[in-house]
Amino acid sequence: MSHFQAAGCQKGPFWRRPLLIMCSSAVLLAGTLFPSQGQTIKDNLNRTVTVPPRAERILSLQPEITRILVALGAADRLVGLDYFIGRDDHLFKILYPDGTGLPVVSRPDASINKEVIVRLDPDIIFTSPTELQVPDSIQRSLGIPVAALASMGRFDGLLKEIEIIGVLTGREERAEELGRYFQEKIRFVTESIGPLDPEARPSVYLAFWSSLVRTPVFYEPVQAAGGRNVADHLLPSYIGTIGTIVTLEQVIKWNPDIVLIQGSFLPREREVTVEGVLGDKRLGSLKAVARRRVHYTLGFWYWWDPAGVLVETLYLARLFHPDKFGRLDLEEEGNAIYEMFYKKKDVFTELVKFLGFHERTEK
Amino acid sequence: MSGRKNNRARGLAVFFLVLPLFLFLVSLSIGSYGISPRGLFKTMVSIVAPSSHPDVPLAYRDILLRIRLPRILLAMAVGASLSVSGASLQALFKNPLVNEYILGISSGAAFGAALSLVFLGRAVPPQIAGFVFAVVAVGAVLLISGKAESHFITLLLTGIIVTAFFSALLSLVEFFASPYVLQALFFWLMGSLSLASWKDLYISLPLIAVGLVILFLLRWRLNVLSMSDEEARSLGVNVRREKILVIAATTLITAAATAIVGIIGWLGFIVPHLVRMMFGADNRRVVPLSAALGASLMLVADDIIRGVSPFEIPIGIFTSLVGIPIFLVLLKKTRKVWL
Repeated sequence: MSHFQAAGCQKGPFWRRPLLIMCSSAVLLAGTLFPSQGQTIKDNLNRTVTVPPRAERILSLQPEITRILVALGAADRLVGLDYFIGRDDHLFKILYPDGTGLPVVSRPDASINKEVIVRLDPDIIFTSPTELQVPDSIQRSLGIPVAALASMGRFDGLLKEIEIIGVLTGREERAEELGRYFQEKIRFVTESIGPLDPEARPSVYLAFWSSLVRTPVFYEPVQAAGGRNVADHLLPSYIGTIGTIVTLEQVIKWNPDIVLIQGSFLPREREVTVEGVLGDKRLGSLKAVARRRVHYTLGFWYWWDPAGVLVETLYLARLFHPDKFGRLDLEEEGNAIYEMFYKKKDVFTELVKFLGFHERTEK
Repeated sequence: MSGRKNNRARGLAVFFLVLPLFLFLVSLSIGSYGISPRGLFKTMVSIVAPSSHPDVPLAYRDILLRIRLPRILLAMAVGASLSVSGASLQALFKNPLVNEYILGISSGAAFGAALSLVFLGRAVPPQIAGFVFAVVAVGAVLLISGKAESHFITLLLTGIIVTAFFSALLSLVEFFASPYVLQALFFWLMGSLSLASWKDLYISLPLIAVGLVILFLLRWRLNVLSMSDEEARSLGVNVRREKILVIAATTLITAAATAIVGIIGWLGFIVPHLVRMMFGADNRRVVPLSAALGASLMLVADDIIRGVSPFEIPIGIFTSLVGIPIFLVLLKKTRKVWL
């Protein structure tokens, strides 16, 4: 599976992705569990998958699910990983160091080593719904149940996913605890902000996926944190979190108050930088540039990290509404959130250090 | 009767030659940021004489001077380059199926850009690396195929093989790339004018200009080179030297264009055919008219992209969407595609 696509970015032509997601959108938030019918789930591709009553050997080719498994305390059930989590995700190495020894089954070219899968003998395999053919291909040839699940970048999708994985691993209580915690944190942010007129929301342009002109048309943390994504609804909202390419002229027309650059890359891997945007003469007329309100943000990590998305929302809330969140100690909050999910201390401190924007998240 | 037909063809040729200039002016007014004709005029005047209209908003100047103008000029240069390159190679290879990428330029450029992004950490910009490896790919084709001037089939086959080889190398580089860098690479490979800047023009325009001038000067010799080698030699042409010169010039302009905007398909294939269908196969006309029509088609495609929606669709799609229907209509009408 290509996690490039799972990340909300497309390897192929970009219009393919909306189509893929439209196919899965009908059951975007579903992943419905029917325990009474003998553990049957309906995945994001609208496939009904019969799963074992309790999954003991799990092969996750979907980073978001891998993280949820770790958060639920079911990481010891993992028998293999996708290439991104296994090789490139710097954070995962901190969250679950034991995972570095697990076999990697997928490759960047979207191919999957089925022989290794047979050797690993999983009860269930999770893949991303953005790879339409992969689940059926594996299930048909190996006879192993394959479920294509993802939050598609939506909070409710993420909560549903946590719930499903909780049931499948017998960790319902922990799933419930995490779900509750997640909702409380989001509620804290939205209630602190209070009702806002559209004009009171700063307009935000997001330069994501290593390009100045690629932007998500739906990014829930911005909305939750009291901002307004200028590219919202550029494409119909039912297709979930996807990116599109816009013209520079359109960015100037939007004239956002704030520009956010995806910063979940190591500094040496960044194609778009804060300094680059501030120094780009083409963007000199932007309010955000004139007021130097160009910042890094965490962005996606191949869909969400459940802890990361909460920290992201708090970070954005502080950025958008310093009057209400100015006293928020983001580092302390971030570390607490990561500890809640992954039972590890000082993860957020370490994360922002290797991403090189530690000073931006300080109080 | 024949005279009237000639006059009509001449009139049409003049129309096509001035079309890019007309489209250039029209394109300046197209974009998602609405600028009225009056505002546009004032902005243009203020660019030439900054004190004349101090009330012109900064955004207008930025859009016109830093976004639209370089993008339009780059679109024209790239359109002209790919079309002239396709026309010259089709004439040289005496083969209507040849396109500007046949000698491995696209895969060489893609590999170079990938190498820069993945391993060199942009120490060498992807545009420069793309250009260098596009030239390396063509050099490899010429070297491997040996006496290229007398074995065009060998040359074409070698081009296909070198293309496949560089594609394999590209896959290998992708395998080692971090997913973050892959995103930048795929964006480059998609082919786009969305980030066109003056810097891009400074890099590519001199190379494109040199290549176009060479091919323009050689245009009548392309007619001779389209004949058999014996015939060409009997007319006093140094066949080997001229062919290598044509290949070098087409490589220069295609590599310079591809390295900046990525791979834009179909243009170098469709435009020369359109020109030949309308004006015949005389390369003295085909070369300049291909340049003019290629620049125009590229501009129209880019205008649609910039004018129709706030989001950007890769230009390769539009060059195909605009070019292919026209090509099919003309094909149906003329019932001939070559010479």
